[in-house]
Amino acid sequence: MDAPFLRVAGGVLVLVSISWNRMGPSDFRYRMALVIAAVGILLAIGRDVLSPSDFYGRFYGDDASTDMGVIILHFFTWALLLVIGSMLTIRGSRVYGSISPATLFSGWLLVISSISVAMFFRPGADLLDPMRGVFSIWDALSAAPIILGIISGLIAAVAIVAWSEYSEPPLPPTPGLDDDERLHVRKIVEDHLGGVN
Amino acid sequence: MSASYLQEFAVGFTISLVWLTIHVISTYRSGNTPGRLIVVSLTFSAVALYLLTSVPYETVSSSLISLMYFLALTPLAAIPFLLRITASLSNEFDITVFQEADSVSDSE
Repeated sequence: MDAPFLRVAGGVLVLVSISWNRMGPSDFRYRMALVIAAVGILLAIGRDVLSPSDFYGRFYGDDASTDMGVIILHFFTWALLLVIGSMLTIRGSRVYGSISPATLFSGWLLVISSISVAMFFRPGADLLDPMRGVFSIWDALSAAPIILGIISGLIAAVAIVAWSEYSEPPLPPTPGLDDDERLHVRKIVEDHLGGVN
Repeated sequence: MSASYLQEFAVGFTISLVWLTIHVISTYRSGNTPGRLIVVSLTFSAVALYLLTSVPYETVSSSLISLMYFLALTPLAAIPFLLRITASLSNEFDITVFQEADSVSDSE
C-alpha cells in the first residue's frame, strides 16, 4: 500500500474515533474509540516513524515544509502533546475533584511543549538560522481558502442535519417507566450518589 | 477569484462533507439516525469527491499542508480555556453542589 492511501485511511480512522468517543460509555463503540485512534495514528505516521534512517535529514531539509510525511508527523506530535496535556490539566484542576498540583504541573508542561513544537520546532528549522521554520502568521493566512471552504462545508452539514431531522415524522411519546424500571433507575442513581437522599 | 483559490475552497468544503458522512455512518443507531441524513450526506460527499478528482494532486496536497500549518495555532487558542479551568475553584461534581441544587429545586 502506498503512503497517501495509508495516511488517508489513518485520517479516516482518527475521525471515526473522535465520533465514537462522543457516543457515551454505554455504547461498545465508545470503548473502542481509543484503539481505533491508535490504529489510525499508526497508519498515518507509522511509515515515517518505522523508517527513521533518513527522517532527520528530511525534517531539516530544504523540502521539509512540503514533505507530507514530515508535516503529518509534526502535526500529530504537537496534537498528542496538546490532548494529553489538556486532559491532565483538566483532571488536575478543581473542576473534577480535589486539586492535584503534580497532575496540573505535568499537564501544563505538556501544553507548553505542544506550543513549542507547533511554533518553533517546525519542519525546516535550522539551529544556525533560528528564524527559519519558525511559525509565521502570514504563512498561516495562506490557508484562508481551505478554512473558508471548511466553514462553508460545516454550514452545509448543519443545514443537511437540520433538514433531515425536521423532515422526519415525529416519534410517538415515550411510555412512562413501569415499577420495575423505576426501582432500577432509582438504584443506579443512589449507587452513583453514594446513597445520599 | 483565481482557479487555485476555488480549488482550495473545494478541498475544504469536501473535507467538511466527508467528515459529516464519516460521523453519521460511524455513529449509526438503528431507529435514531434518520435514513434521509445518511442518503443525503453520502450523495453530497460523493459529488464533492467526484468534483475533487479534477483538482490537481499538488493543489490538494499543498492545501492540506497549509491547513495543518494553520492548525498549529490550536495550542495557543486552547490556553485561555485551560487557564480558566486551572483557576476555577468550583467543583462541578462535588456532592454538596448536588445537595444544594436539590434543595433549591425542592424549595421551588
